[in-house]
Amino acid sequence: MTNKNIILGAALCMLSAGSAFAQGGKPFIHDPSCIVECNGKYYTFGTGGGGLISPDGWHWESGAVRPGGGAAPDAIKIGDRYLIAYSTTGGGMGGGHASAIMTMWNKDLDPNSPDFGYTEAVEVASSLVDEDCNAIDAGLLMGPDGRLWCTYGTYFGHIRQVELDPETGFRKEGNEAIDIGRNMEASTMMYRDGWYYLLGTHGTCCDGVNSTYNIVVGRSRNPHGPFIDNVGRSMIEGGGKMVINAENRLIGPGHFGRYIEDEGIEKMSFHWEADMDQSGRSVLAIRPLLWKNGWPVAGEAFQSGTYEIQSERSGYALELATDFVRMNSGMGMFGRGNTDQPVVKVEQQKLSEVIDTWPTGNAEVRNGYYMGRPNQRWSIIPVDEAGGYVGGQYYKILIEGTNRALAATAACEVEAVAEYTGADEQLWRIEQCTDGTFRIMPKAIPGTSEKLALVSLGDCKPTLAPFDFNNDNCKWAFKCFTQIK
Amino acid sequence: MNRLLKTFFSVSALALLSSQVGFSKDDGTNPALLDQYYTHASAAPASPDKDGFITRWALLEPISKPASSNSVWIDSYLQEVSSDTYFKDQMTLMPYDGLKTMVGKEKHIWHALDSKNYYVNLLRFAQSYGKEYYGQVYFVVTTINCEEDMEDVRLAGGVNSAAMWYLNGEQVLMMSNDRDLVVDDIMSKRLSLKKGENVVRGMIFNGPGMADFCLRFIDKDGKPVKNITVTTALTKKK
Repeated sequence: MTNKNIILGAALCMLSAGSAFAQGGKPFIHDPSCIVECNGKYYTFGTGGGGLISPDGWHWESGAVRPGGGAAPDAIKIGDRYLIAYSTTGGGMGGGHASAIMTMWNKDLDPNSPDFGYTEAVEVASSLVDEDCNAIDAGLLMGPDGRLWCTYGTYFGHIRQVELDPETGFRKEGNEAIDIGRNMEASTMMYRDGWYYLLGTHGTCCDGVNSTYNIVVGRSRNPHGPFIDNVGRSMIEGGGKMVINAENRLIGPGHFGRYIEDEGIEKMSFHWEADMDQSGRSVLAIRPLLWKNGWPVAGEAFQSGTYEIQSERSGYALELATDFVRMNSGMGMFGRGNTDQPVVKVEQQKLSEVIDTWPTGNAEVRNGYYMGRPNQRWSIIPVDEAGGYVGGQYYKILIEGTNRALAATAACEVEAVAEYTGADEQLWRIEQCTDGTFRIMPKAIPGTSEKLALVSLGDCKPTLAPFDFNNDNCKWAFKCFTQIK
Repeated sequence: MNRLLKTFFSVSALALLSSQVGFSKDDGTNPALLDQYYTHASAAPASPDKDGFITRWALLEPISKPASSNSVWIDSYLQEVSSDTYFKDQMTLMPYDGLKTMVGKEKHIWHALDSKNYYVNLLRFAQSYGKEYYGQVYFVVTTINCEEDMEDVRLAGGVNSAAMWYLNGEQVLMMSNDRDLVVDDIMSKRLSLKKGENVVRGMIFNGPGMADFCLRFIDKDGKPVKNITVTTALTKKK
């Protein structure tokens, strides 16, 4: 491969779509709620009752329990309880527009827990058969001031907002529903940095690979709106800035949910109406949630490939510490010699040309000037049996063409072990931050349960330390050479 | 700029500059030049500078180590040349100001100096004492005094062009390849400073071009370590 062919920018490397983007297990669901964590497990609820459970946020199976049937629930943790909202019908497709939004509580979402048990559902909003509103698709937001908002509605009229009592889950006494949007469904709200965001889904639902669903957003300083998109249209006039659309073989994103992992690490859950690599079925998707100029942007699923791993601090590349082996290409920039000579490619330095100069056994890793050399090219490959985390699975990180693996040590440092064994300290969690950079964390560190990330201390010293989103030492970029199919 | 061009221009610039800074005495020394970069160390312990940089050092007049290009300082070669013996007891000797050390048949003198900058300019040091300054290895030693044990600190620094560093006799930091003077360019693994005296010893290698380094300790929170004092002996310890 020549330098010319090196594709810079992880995003370009990640563009191809396929089942590699799907979650593990059997993530089949329609209209998923926000993902909620309960006692170390993850839950999302869908249309028709029930939902998915995951032990790690990556591998999903059916098994969550939600009574009441109906459509498109949402879930939120308030204190030590979970408030679930759902609608009693499936909307127009289900036979009319008369419907109601119900809420109920549960202390533990694990159906096998002795604390599992829903309270009696109460109605918090409704629509009549002849009303310009269809009370389905509830979305919940706890605002920064402790006020609890519920939005609902479909293309049949308005998106409406009511206020709930966060103590009881009931409608606030005397609260009147207000219209905040139109021409969408699957609405929900989120709050960030003084802005309230209204998200909804445009396009056609529930038509498999022909669904044109896509997620849009507007924002307002006021929780009641008006929510304005990036070109000044109000969402009550049909506006909305695109957050995510179909991607190649993944069709019809809808039903946005926000999941905040840590400061600077956010995820968005939704469904693909159809995953064409999984029989065109509707599946749960989880993507990084990025923020650009105050707008939410869908990140890309990380793809296997061979990458430069670049420190955000210095721009230096993570490398196996080896002797620098010079290439014999002459001093082209001096322009000496016969300028009529044909221009030829200079071959990339090959692993076979340098590997005998490398240290044997476990070796130091460091950051260095990026030169495209074999000791700086890392193959990043998912390990299916290793499990995962919310939205992603664990990866092994190997020097390309070798079994030398990046590993955490008991001294909370990093090294390259001579042979990858699959040990937890050789498995890595790769998550895109809200600014588009990446956090890299080992699955485990020998001798400690502390959660540490790969961090640059000094320009050239990679180590393990607590992640701080506001510190470039803690963040990395991936620049792609080749994808691994 | 291309490294070789950079070297060419730096050589030219240095030759021009050195002809303008003070005047060399008959013995080749240039006190005015030294005064621009250093003061003589005092008996009173020094503190690190405001950013934790260690500015008090015993510097040995440079020893010839020819290198036509700084690209030679790759890991294995640096490891090799830092293992060579240049003078007796080079890894244990505690120098004092004016101590004469025999390098082969040549006398080299240790100078206890405080740098006026956060970095230590070795090329100007060599010029000030009328010594060759390209293709040299510079030995430097200092003592870090701690009132208590300090765990999980790191030695951090930058160098032009390469260096090997030792703490209390143990190799702790290699600055290989043709590097530049960059603050916190390279850091060690987690280290311990013990209560009392800790000896930092370095070998700085340089072919053509500038020769300088900066060094400090960083605590476990990434902050400069400043609650230490730094000493170099002015006379032979009794």
